[in-house]
Amino acid sequence: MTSTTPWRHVEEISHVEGADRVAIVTLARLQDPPVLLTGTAARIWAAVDGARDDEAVASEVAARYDVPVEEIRTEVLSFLQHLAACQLISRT
Amino acid sequence: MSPDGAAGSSVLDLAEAVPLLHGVVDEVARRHGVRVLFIKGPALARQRLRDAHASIDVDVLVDPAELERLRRGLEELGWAVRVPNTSATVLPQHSVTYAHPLWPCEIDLHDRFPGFLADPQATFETLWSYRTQVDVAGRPVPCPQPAPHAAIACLHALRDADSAVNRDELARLIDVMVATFDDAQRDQLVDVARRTGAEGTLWPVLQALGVDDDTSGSTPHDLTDWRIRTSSTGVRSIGWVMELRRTPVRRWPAILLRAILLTEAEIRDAQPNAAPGAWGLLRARIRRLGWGLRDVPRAVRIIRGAGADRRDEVPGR
Repeated sequence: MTSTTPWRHVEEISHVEGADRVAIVTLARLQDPPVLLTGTAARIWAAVDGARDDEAVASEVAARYDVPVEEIRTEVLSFLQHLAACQLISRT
Repeated sequence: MSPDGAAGSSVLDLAEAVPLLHGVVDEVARRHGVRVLFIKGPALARQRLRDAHASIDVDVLVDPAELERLRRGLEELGWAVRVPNTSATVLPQHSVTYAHPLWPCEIDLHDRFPGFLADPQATFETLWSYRTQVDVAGRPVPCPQPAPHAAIACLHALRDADSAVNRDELARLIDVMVATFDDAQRDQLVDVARRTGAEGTLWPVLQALGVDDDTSGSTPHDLTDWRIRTSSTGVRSIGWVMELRRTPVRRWPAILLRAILLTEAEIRDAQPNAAPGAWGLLRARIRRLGWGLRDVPRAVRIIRGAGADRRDEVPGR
């Protein structure tokens, strides 16, 4: 089941976005090591913009990779939940 | 599709780690109520005072009165002094370097900056009064405004002015300042120089900018040590010779013993290829002693040339 509430990056982070990779540190948990997202994970992160919901993020990533959204929806949504569990993104 | 997940920080490169670490240090400073200014590196690049090449460490100027609090805050997160420094130096020790096993870059905490000859606390207050913020890794972090930041960058380049890289960097900085600074920023530069005791050390820069400074580089501060430091890049024994000159003869044996032995951590840091074990350490110490002794005549010439006189520097001798 998808939600129509958009995703956003949490505010308490520093992040550096490069070509096909994103490095993130969570300022609320300074003892945690930095996180590095690469490849499709970085694409999903970049698709989170505070306006896109589950379906819009999946569509954006599908468009980037030129694949049908049905092929990737489940994994994109699963990874969004993973990012949320790591407190890197949240629903707006 | 299988999204890549969180990877270990060991694969962070410097272009990622250094900006991220600005956010970490800023957060630690905030939590502990310590005033900090990020200097050089990404902050200077954001102000277009240097190229945007990757830095190798994070430089932080810390309120001298609160340095220990910030150190404790970082140490609670697993940061540790990389190699405690016991070497003699021409100018007072100005920074301590912290390292962390999960980060590929280091943090240099400065409680003063070489070339600002006024009291470190007064210098920090002046620079703090001229602070601004720049965005680094998506976070606003405090740093000096362009004019005082340029002063810091110039002093950094002037300190090792024999180096071609530093000469180029200084020339580039001056070009940028000439091209972009307005009258208010030039006045600010002069004000910072006067209030931080840098009117003499920064005089080549002030001259190049043609600022209207009626001091003509005169300063109430003694420039002797600065002159010695800026003309002794690569002269390994200069700090020890200076320390001997500052010290009564009866205390020389202890200094000489310290100079010869140094700590194993410092020896191995300077000679990372030294063989492990006691024999490797001994050979490294002998190598270092040879280099140091070879430099002594040059060190003495530089010190004499700068006009330093040991007898004048040790009252009551």
